[in-house]
Amino acid sequence: MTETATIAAALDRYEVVIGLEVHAQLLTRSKMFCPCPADYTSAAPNANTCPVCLGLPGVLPTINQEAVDFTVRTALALHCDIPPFTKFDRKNYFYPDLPKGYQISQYDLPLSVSGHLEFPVGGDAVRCGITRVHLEEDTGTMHHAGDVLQSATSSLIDLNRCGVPLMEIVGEPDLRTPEAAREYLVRLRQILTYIGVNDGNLEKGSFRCDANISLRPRGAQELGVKVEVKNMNSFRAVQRALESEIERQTEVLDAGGTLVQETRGWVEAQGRTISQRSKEQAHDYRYFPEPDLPPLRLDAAFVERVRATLPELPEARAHRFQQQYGLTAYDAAVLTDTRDEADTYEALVAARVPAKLAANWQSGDVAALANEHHVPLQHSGLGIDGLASLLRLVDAGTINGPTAKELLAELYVSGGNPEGLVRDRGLAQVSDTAELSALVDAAITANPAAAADFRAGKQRALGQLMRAVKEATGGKADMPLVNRLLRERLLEQ
Amino acid sequence: MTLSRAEVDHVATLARLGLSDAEKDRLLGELEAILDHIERLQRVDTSTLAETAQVGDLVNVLRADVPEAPIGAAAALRNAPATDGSYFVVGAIQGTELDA
Repeated sequence: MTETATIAAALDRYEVVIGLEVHAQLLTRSKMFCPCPADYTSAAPNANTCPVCLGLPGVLPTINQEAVDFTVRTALALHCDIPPFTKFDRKNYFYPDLPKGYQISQYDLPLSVSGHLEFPVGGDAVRCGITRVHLEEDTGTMHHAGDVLQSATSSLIDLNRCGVPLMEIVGEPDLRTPEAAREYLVRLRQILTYIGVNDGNLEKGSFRCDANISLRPRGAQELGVKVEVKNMNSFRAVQRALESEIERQTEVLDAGGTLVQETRGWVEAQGRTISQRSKEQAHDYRYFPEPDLPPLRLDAAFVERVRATLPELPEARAHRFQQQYGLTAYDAAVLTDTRDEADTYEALVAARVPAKLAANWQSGDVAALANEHHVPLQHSGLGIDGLASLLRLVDAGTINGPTAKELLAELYVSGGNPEGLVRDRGLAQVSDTAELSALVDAAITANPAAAADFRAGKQRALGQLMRAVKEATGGKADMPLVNRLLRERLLEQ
Repeated sequence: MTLSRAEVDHVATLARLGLSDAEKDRLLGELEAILDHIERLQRVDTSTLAETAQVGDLVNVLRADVPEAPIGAAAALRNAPATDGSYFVVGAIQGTELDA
């Protein structure tokens, strides 16, 4: 059986229960509890540290206001309630990437609770509950000799990342397929990047996901044994890891075996999860309230102030694009995929480019160029204003499609004024009926065989005549008009 | 209050402390004394008091998100027992001490 077929067969007999936990670094400038710069990638190891994030004795943490605002903004985007009282707690464990011996996190009174996220999967609407969104701090990074933890005799520690604000988004076990899990993450990342709190980079680990998965026979009330899966650094890895777990758990259950509650790591190269037994056994975090941080009282006025900073969310914006600009659901989804994309589109429309024309060019040729050059439109030589004036020339009939395409590719890289170039190079479209009619007659005279073929019913013969007129104008002819004139002339003779 | 020897082992493991049997016996007694004291405190009637994790009245003490100069790697590493370049070096992470 193929993997897909194996999964489908397993899903017939077992109900899969999946819950996801996402850790997302917040885009603050400074760390969570100290004013060290939060940028941990461009500095030399341990350069961005201070006594607070180094865990030295006698220091006091202070709460970063922006991190609280960002977390509340996220919680509101996910329809969570914001309780009026919240506090921080110490989660105690010893590991060299966290020199204090505890992580400041939130235990029983998190910043937000009871939200949800809705998204489509294969045409069905899925609604996944959000248990809570809370705030904590990231750990440092470790490099093991030989990169294999088990055999390393020593490890290198960099504490630049230690104390970077980290938001944890805990989802309810409402997901039933690996595909739904993947879609949940895609949608969640889209929202976080839209509202400007996270950069959504799975590969670099600024957006990380752990999954809990269990299987139970269809119809059973009791949940099966839960396995936690880690080490997935792409959307595809999440889906593959969960599929691999379904296969593994199905085999154990089908053979009459019992599963062990454990943490397993996804090994991309082997396409399977492996048990991470030893480290996780002694989980006993002995949470207690952080005595060094006074609690937070978040009143309704504060919550409303944060709510006012929420931009229009992608789903609502896609819906509005359909209504306001007459776009298809597909085009609207493509053009609202990122906030930059959607802002660009609305800037083009505001610059008097017709909605449909802007949609076609932005999601077609412009997207291809952005991809090819790894430069988004707004940072290209052309820029949004340049594209708008180019498309206005297309809309006015001043230049034809092929000319516009060539200019776009050139100006995307080198920059320049489209109107000036069209004038200086004489690229304006030839759409004078009298001029084109003369060229049409000449083309028919010069290509009698093609003309005869077309009159005999061969539609394709028209292509040769069209090319002849196009060449006679140096590629600048208004081709729809040429097409019409050719047909009229050939049929009247 | 009686603390079991297994509980002492467990707490020692969580704290990554490698203790001899003699040390564990001594700590068992000391920890029991501390727990006995807490037990006495728990007999005080607090039914009229609100639960609190803080003794001060401070709330909403926040800092603006403005970065300040860190102390830098040289200062951070000054007291480190072992370094490599500007990294801290620690011994093996996984192995006997965690599996204990």
